[in-house]
Amino acid sequence: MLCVRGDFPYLGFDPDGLRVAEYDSRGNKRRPLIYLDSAATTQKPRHVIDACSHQAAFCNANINRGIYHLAETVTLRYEQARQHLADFINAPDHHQVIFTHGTTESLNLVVFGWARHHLPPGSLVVLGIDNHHSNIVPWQMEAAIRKWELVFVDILEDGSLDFGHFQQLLERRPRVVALTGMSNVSGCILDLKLWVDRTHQAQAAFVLDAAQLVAHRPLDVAACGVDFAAFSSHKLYGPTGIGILYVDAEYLQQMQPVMGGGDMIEHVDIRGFRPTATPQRFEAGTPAITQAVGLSAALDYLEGLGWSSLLTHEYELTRHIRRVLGNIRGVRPLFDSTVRDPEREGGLFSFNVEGLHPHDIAQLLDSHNIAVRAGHHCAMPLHTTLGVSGSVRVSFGVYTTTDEIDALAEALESIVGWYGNERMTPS
Amino acid sequence: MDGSMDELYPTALVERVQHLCFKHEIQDANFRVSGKNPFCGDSLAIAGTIDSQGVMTSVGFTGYGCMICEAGCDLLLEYLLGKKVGQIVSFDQAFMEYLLGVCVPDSRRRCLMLALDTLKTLLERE
Repeated sequence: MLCVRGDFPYLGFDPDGLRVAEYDSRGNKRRPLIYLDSAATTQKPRHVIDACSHQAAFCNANINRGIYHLAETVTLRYEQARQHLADFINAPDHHQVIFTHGTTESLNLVVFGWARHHLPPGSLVVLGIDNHHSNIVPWQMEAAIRKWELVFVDILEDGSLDFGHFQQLLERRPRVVALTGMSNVSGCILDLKLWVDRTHQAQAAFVLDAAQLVAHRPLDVAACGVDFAAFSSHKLYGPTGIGILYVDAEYLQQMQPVMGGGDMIEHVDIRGFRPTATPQRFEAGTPAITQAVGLSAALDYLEGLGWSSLLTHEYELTRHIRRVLGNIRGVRPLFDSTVRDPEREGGLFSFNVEGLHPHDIAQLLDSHNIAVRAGHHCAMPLHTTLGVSGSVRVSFGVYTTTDEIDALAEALESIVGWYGNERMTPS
Repeated sequence: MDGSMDELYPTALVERVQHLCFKHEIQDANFRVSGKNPFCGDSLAIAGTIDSQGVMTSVGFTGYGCMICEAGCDLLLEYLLGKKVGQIVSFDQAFMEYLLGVCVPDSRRRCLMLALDTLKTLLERE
């Protein structure tokens, strides 16, 4: 198991070496928070916090504007962060990496900056039923105007996307396939090379929501061949407020700016404007400079841990949670994960407890100082397909331990026992 | 059992949820309203009869919600039965917390208010 909790100020130790404790609303000391909601956002290592603090304190200027030394230094650091991101995902050229405010903006940029201009009326777009809303709603918004048809790939009982159904949909000659690389509800991970190759054989573009994926598996955009890939910094141990969109070179030339303003222009006069070169033409306004440096620091941190350690850690946590929660009366996993390939799942576990609403479960776990997510997880179509209004989701980070999972199991046993044998069955 | 579980889920609330008095269909209702909490998918449908004086003479609800939502709804309908419905215009979160006997955190406000907000749509029709 990874032993990194000391790297995270919130989870580890204060400078005096004392264990950081939580306090409730009355000022009573509680045991340290057991944070099992990393899929929502990760806690930040000191390395990232220090990098952001240093940047803001000692290296602060705007980029691409000033011609003084400080401004040039900051511009260089920003572009070095971009290069680092490109290297992290093995992008052929760092100019193919666009900084955005996160996965949601990135996916909106795909729809409104590319698809809007290149998908004619009647175009078929294939989405996954397990897509996050950020990879559904923008398509729906534009489809209503452009008269596209949206179809959804079904899931199997283990939560993975149905490849057979996908192949049937490809026979209808879609223009775009937009899927999630790792579901934020099932934890299922797509065999990217397989799905992208089939998409390209059908002469469609592949759009990847990699928001969850990048923290759990290495992403090699050159090897898998995705045409667009989006992810956020804050799920990758970096700061909030920044993400990236990777775009294949050919599609990059087809894209149009969505936001106009400073920094994205080559020339402006009273008659119009000319945008500047990529990727800056998609980065209007002052960007999240501090956050870009913080994101690069997050990549440093992960690279220091190494994928071998990260994967081993995750496999052990996944096996452990299935083992301990599977023994608790009333706990109902959302999916049958027993048949899954360990290579094709990661990092989270969704379930319900018979007779208890997910919000109540989460609230009761909070009384044990355990943080989980409850609700539809921005995946309402998936939950509708499953016939539930929501679920409880436990998700891991590099700092998660088996002891924390044991504490979760103990708390759930306590909650089930406290609620009693008379269960309210949802109607 | 952690004492803080009782703070938000006192025994009275849990027992209420396990023995709801108003979770049933109403035949021959002269009003039906429904509401949904998009945050969590909870949904309630409230139906009943209101007489010419504006008094609620029968009421029931169907749907699915968390304990706070369903207990809150059940207690609200119990309070209103036999009284003038128009008074709900002045009901607020504090009143719902009074009925429920707990203070809810901000994250559960929508759960608490779903029944009241749903009933208030009745007043908007008039």
